[in-house]
Amino acid sequence: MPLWVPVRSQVAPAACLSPSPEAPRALSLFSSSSVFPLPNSQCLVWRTDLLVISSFRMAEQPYMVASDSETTGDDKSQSAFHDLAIGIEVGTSKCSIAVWNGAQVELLRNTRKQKAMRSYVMFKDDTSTGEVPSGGASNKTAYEEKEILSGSAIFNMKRLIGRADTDPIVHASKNLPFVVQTLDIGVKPFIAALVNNVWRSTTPEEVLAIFLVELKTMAEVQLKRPIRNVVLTIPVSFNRFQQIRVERACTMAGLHVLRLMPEPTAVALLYAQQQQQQQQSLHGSMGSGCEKVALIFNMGAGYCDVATTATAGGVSQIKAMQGCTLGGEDILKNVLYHLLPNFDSLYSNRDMNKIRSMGLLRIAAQDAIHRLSTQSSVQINVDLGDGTKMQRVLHQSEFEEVNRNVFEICEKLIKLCLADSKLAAEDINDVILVGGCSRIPKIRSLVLGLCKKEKEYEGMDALEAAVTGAALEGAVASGITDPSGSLDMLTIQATPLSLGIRVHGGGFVPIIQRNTAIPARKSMIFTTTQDGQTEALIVVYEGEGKMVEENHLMGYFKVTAIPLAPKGTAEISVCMDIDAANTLRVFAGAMMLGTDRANSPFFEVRMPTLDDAHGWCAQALVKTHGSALDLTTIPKELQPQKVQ
Amino acid sequence: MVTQQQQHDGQSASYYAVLGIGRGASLAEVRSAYRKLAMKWHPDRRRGQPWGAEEANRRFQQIQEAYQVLSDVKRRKLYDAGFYNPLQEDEEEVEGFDDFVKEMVSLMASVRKERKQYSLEELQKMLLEMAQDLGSPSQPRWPADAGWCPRTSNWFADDMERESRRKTHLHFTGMELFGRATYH
Repeated sequence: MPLWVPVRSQVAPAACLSPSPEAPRALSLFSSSSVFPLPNSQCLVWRTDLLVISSFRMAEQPYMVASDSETTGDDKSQSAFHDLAIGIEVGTSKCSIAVWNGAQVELLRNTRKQKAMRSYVMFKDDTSTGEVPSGGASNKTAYEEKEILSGSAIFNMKRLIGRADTDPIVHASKNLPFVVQTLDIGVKPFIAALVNNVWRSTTPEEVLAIFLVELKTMAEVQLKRPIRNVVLTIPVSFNRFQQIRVERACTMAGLHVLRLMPEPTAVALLYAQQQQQQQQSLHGSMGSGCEKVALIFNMGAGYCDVATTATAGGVSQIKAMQGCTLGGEDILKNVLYHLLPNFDSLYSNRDMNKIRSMGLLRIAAQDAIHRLSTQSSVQINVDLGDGTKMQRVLHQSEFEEVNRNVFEICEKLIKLCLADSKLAAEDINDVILVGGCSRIPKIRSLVLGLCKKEKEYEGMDALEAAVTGAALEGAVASGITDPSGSLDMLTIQATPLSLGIRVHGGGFVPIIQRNTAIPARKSMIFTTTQDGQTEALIVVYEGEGKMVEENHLMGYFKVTAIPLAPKGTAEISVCMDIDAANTLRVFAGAMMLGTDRANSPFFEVRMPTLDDAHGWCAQALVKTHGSALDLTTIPKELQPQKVQ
Repeated sequence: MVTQQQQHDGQSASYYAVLGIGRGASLAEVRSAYRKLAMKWHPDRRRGQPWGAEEANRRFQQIQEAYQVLSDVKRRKLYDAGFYNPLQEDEEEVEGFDDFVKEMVSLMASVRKERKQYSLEELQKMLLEMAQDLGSPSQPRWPADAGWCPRTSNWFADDMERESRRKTHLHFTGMELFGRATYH
């Protein structure tokens, strides 16, 4: 019997590594890789074909969240492929896994032969069926869309993860069949799935972790090796706080995040490889060839991203990125409200029948939107089961009208991205359209029109490009080389959001500007705002707003031992460093007066340090300390001349 | 060799040396040199190699900075004239400097016509005067000895950075003159 075929009696795939998989041994192995501490002292344990939430206590496993940058060295002694990172794209709606197989990237299929698997986790009563919870990647169960919309499944976790209950996206998710409760105080929203007629609470990270466990196990069974390292794609607009949540979900699932890769940059890497191969076949050499510039437009169910890349010689250089939370979900919502203007009031009470008919309407609307990609009008016939029947025709023009705001935002993103990358439409060689929503005729014509192109770039599967790029990056970043040179690739990432600190008066001063190539290191000198000020607060934000309230608070710490001096004369150096794995570290400290030497040891802080309640912390800091610990900028000509 | 020549004229190993190209390199050559060096030094390409990740990070950042300047026509012009400061990244300022440099280049040209050899100090003095004409001169807010030579946050710097800073020192002196005159 092959070692890696899952057998019911064995406890976990990880345990199969053990030559003698007797229970205690297996369990200890297991605790190091696949036991997930959950809230309420529960532990989530993966069993080969089912997941059980059992409430036995185990020694608390410390989260080992992302020490990405320090993964070189010891790992290297093992054979290269053993550590090869796989690429995972967890989409709002669908998800897929890909891996470098030694010659090319291959997408894995689940037992139902699907490459694109529905992203959801079904919660069912464990006492009766023993099938709690399981997701779209699961081998055994193939839930119908109708069941997924019954309230028992949680989906759209990508839209919910890392958001506070004041977030408009969280509010917009309240029309989903499962429960999303908000108290509007800036904490994690309450979400719950219907299990045995009870709303059982969970969290987006937990749901993502459960789903990732399924994906991991599926890949382990197929690849016949344990999977640890992953390159996961994320939307451009994910802030560092959301990224930490995704990393945490991965850790809960026993996965180590080698890279979180913005989706269009994964597509850009695939494009770079295709260009490289094309030039090699044309010129038969490894010459770097001429530079090609592509605009990548990626719109899925949850997010819309735009990026520009310049590529030659296998190097993909990200010039600029823009993204926002906008996708098929918003289009679907617009259509639902168009079909049923009183949608909210109809479904506010969440009785079972209402949830069911809401699900049916969602399915019908989604189907209509899909058909409108190729037809100018579609017939909608749906029996909502509660005595109402909907029979009507939806025209393309109507569809475009109700989604006008969506198209306007798309347009704005593309224009911003072009401006950021200092490119005109004429400079673009190829327009790459990926993601499910890129099939919508209006969106295609809009993107191509703005880039003044007749047709889009061919040779990429719109639904597989991102995960393929992630698998390529996984191979490259794992240090795999390929004799044919097809892994002589490099993505030079850029940071999509500016990073900086708060200064006196609540202004935001960026230290690392958006679209700076990473790894990056920049420093700036600040000064005190009070006479004899010996301490200063370094409050770190991410975003593009001129004032800090518009941006995301990442964390804060206090610089001490500032030499006594009149205000405006002491110097506080703040340095921000982003390494290749995108980890942000902030170094800060006071300088000795009139010198370029540190007055006392500097502080090094890895950001973000915050969890929930961002708004609170910022307000509390101001309330408690006023402006006593504020910093301000110094004139530019007195800034250090050489940064790094 | 161009690099040797650069070392001779003392104008720094500079961004050109970082990319290993000559001052006359075309944009395509700049790009190609950048990509080759990025392939070599980007931390992603150096996994498991004896060089530390820190070293790779630093080298890549230098390469990136050099590329960012030399691949941009205006920034490159400023840099060639000795006025580029990596912190003056606002588009407006780059534009402003660009106009200013054009004026200065024409001044230099007229100086050359007069066949008079000016010392660097004299040129700097002229520049200061020009800058004062352009901006509205006022009392410096900072003591004169505070900002005259490039001040740095050396705390993070290692020897290599210090070296490159020393080499680029000359480029920034003029910049400071200008910056001082216009920011007050």
